[in-house]
Amino acid sequence: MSQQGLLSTTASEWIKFRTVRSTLYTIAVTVVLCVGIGALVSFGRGSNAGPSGFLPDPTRISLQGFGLAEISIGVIGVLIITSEYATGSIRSTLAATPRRLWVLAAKVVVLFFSTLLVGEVCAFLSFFVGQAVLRSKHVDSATLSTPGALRGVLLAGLSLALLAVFAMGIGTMLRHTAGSVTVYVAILLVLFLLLAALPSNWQHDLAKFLPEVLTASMRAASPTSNEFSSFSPLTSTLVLAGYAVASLAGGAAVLVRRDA
Amino acid sequence: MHFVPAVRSEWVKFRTVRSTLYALATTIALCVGFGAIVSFAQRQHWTQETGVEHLAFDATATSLSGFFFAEIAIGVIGVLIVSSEYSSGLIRATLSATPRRLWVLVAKAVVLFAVSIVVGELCSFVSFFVGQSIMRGVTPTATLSTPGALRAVVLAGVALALLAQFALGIGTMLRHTAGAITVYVSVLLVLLLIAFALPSSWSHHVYRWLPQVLAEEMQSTNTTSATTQFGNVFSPIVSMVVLACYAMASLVGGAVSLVRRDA
Repeated sequence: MSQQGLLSTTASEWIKFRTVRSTLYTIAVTVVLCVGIGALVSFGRGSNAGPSGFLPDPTRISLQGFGLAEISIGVIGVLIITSEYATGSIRSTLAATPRRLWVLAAKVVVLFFSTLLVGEVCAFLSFFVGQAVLRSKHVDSATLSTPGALRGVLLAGLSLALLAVFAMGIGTMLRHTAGSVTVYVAILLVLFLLLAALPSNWQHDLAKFLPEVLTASMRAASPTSNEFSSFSPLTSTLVLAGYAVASLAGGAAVLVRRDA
Repeated sequence: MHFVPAVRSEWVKFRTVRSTLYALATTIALCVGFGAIVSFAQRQHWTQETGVEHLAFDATATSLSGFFFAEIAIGVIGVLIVSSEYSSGLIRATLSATPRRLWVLVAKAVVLFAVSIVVGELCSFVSFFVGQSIMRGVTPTATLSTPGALRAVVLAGVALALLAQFALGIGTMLRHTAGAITVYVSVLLVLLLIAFALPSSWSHHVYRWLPQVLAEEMQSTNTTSATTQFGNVFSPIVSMVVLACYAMASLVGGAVSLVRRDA
């Protein structure tokens, strides 16, 4: 095969991504679970609201399913690169495109835009379903014109895309599915749970930097609804994007330097 | 192949893969390391904390804080012991050598249990002693003769071994590393986060049944069932029995899938 340009590399990455059944299954499960859990939490919170029907940040309540979507989207991000190492197809990929950074860039493009689409579908569906459930319970609910609601929904979808790229960077560094998924989950969830074990003023200083707190802040329509002191939604987006870029840079260094 | 050689061959496969050793070493290092960090943090901030925080302080539990990490790592090992055979195709050679498929699963379960209980107890005793020695002199500390402390330390290790079996069952059912790890992590951690998001009248019913809560209660120095902000939890011994039932159910599911489906 002659040397490929960035466009054809992206096209071939898109084919690899799209034609594996497990990608489609994982995405379908992600959307169903995300919307379903959002509806369940909305139903529960709606049923248990006081007589005034007050709920803190209905937008964020309907987006609670994102905790699970974050895990499965990370697995997709890891698999887009580690599955090539597991099967050995990475060697054909790099033989076809000897400019290794282009391979990484093409994968990022395919992964980012497809997970952004999945994320926004998850976010808008969760929002509309969750708010419909809340309305049927006659408690506080939001519409897209509620201050901060549209931003919360849009950034929720974006958070999934950034996490997918973050996970892909880990996968490119480690080249091993099990190890990469474990590291991703540990950074996302275990650090968050570990926070509870720390003294309260450490929690105060560290919490806002954790990915799980960043994404929660991105989903919030009103900043007061967070249990931890956190960055504003836009700053949280920038910090999370910074993590994704750092992880990718690590992956790029490994991909260029090490034998495949 | 008879049962004993089947166990021996599983042991050889387990022991001679470098990733097993790395994963086990990482498990111990992270578990002890984070327990030490949390213990150090408590030592540093003890004088600034309120009386309520002092009352809720459990020296044993604090030193065992690193088990969050160990629970994930041991589950990955439990999944990999079977799913890696499917990804490499080795499972076909294994099942040709031992056509009684249940023996293969039992042999894997035996090897995994033996290794994970040793690693688990190592994690818990080392975490306990390191954590207590870091906190000594500043915060109240525990010794193994403190009521409930020895049981908490021993059961923390048992919890890891049971979770490894639970993960083995998931791996045998799903046969796919990434899928099985995702399901294991979701059952362990994501369910917990979802339970936190549910209203309290709901979470009171489900909280005590979550694997992560069961494992955490096994590390508790309370002897009887306690009440938390998320509802009542089981006593350490009952938690262990429930978690063992989960592990058994998962293994039975794996056994059915292994016997019925083509490899």
